[in-house]
Amino acid sequence: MGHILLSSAAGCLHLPAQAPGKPAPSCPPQPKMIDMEFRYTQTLAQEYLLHVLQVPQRGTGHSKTSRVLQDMAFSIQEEVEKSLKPCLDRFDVVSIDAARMIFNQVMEKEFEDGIINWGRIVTIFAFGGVILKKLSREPIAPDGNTYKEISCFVAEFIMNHMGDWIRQNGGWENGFVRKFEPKSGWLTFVGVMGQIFEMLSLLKQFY
Amino acid sequence: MSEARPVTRDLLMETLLYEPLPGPLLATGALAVMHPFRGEDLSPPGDTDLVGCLEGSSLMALRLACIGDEMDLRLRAPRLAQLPGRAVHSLAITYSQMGLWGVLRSLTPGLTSLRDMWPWGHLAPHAWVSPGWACRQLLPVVLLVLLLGILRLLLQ
Repeated sequence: MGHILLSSAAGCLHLPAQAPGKPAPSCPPQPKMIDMEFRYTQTLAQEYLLHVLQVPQRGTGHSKTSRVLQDMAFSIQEEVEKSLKPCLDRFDVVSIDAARMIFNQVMEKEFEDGIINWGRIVTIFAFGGVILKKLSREPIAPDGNTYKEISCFVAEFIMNHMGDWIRQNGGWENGFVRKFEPKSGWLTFVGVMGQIFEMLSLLKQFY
Repeated sequence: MSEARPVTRDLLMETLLYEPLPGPLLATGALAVMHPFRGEDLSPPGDTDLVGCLEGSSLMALRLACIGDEMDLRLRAPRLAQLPGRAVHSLAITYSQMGLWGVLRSLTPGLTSLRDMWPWGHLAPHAWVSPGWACRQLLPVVLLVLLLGILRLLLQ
């Protein structure tokens, strides 16, 4: 996953406050290999949260992983916000610490049955987006680093609880993207035509 | 975002949120939280006591787990987009066993069937055909049209 890490961390975000992919100041130090994966995950989270905030991001930017993730997670987030509004209204997110506490509480409950899959991992990002928007609505306006703080604990949770699973399941590019990215239209066409021929051959047996 | 498929995703999400959920993969208890959220508030907004908060986080967690599992399950099942892989695999096996001519020969029956099934190819001008015969001849075409319609819907 090294090349993905380097290319992604090299220039996806162009923000004045902090270099792209660098962990927020409050992020704990990580061992080197874990640190690279952590930073990659955090970059994905940062890019997603900026997408949620609708902050324009300069440059050609995002990796395919990031684009696919944004697409999936944003769909989930919108639906969660719409369908779980009564539940979300109960959460008072007044500070970044409260946000971290609620996030960890919900995520630990979500994964307490021990099941991990890519679908659930996408929901982690989506819930990070939900928390960010809740925090942004509070009277105490969050500073420009709020999304970085949130991306930090999103990445922290993912790496602590499912870092091994992600590695064993092909990583982000070979596991997640392969599963979720839209397939080429031409390949689909060829496949469908093959199936139609097959079906016609079967029908021929009866007519 | 250029690779996004908003229609498919919207359909996916509609079904994710309101359809019954199959299989042991799904989060335990997820079904129990489906109905109260269809516009029905469980308690007044702003109830932020500890119990309410814990309940809220549990419900939220179950719902997220449920959405994640359902999405994963659907995307893991064979999709139309994965048919090319199967078709290529099938052709590769035919090619390895019978070579190029074998592949071409395997396509011939389908093409022949298509030609044979075309009902008006057999009809001479002003020829009379029985309704039953016409129905039998037209049925594959109707099935084909239906299939293509379904494929189109699924591919959107």
